[in-house]
Amino acid sequence: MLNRYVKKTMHEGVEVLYNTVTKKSLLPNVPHEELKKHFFLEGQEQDAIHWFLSTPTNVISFVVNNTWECNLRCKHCSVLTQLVAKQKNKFNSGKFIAFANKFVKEYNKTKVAVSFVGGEALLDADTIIDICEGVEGRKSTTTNLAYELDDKKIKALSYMDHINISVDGLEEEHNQQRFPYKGEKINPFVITVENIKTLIKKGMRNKLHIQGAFKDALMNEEYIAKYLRFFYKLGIDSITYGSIHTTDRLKEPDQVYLNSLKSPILYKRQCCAFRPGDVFYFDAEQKIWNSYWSWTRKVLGTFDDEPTTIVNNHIHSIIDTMPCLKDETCKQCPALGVCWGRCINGMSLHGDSPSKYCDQKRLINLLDESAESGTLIVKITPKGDKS
Amino acid sequence: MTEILEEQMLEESMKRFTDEEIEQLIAKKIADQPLRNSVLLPTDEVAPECC
Repeated sequence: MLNRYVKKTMHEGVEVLYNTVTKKSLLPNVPHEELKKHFFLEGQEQDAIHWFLSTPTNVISFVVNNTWECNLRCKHCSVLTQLVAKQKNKFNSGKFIAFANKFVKEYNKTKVAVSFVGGEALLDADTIIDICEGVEGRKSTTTNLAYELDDKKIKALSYMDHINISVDGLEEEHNQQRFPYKGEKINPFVITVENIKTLIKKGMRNKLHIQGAFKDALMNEEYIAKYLRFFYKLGIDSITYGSIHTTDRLKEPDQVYLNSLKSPILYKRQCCAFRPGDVFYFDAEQKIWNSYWSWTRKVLGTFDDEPTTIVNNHIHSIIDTMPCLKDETCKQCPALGVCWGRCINGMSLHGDSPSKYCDQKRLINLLDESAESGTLIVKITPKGDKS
Repeated sequence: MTEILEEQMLEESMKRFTDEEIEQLIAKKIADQPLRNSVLLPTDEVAPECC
């Protein structure tokens, strides 16, 4: 008897058994021992979860929180409570570079990504430049771009493969969300757009990605079309938008966000946030964290620790913090493996009970339909993989 | 890069899509990306509702 996470489906014209938790597929006629070895049997649900959550991949994403200083104070900021007026310590690039390179070697990571986030990461461009020169791999940053774009910042941005620029609407709506710190009389939207033009002039257009977090009032096709038109006219076609989610300051959920939680869709790829040794967050206090968001953050160790210590601590933190693993309804759900991971951003709303906001029947139906139509198994393209 | 070349880069970028192409891109984007919670990752990837 197969366990509840296993679905019969078609893959490249062949009928297979697919374990939605471990992402392994087997031919239906394999010996019983093979099914057991790969946790396909009834009673092996917990083993399948544990195997998946404790098996590092060939991917590593180093997320560098080089500064918690920020030039803006945005209403919906996910890390508003962590921002500081003045960063106490300078990020220790030398120690970080040593740790990162040691980690990559020890774990034989072949897909390496380094991302810079803040605060506003570009306020500390020196650190970005040092790290980009010291660690190989795909580089990216998330930035508001609402600052004076001096030569050093342009140099730091030129190292990036990908620049995520936060623009939460057109001028009026964006500026209603994004306030200059210390109340300077500036227009964040205009500065950001002028800087986007500067980066285009410098030949960086194809690195630019526009991302918008929209309040309910803007989540309609007419407004989205205006927003998209604005950036398409600049020649930028990498754009995403979504609703604002709750944070530890923003407790009242937007309706679109709530509706999304209540009507889940399938998430077929592997959950990256909960893979040990897949993604870590580094700060100027030389601490290594499991997460960016304050409501899930746990210290895993310091830049001086051995990579194995960090990975082992990560495994424990995953088991301890993943909301759906504390929710018996989620654990019993056959769709767990095509849903988990999303619960991290809803955590500030639902705590350890994500099933409270879930239409589980709909999710299971979507899973069954996907298995029947042969679209359940997708190619996994992890972070850092350009293919 | 000279300032003239830089200005040309911007001009070329702004001529990348015709008005008709822009309207087609908008229609496709709206059809492909439902109005939902789409988590914007603080890393190098934007994944639908994933963290």
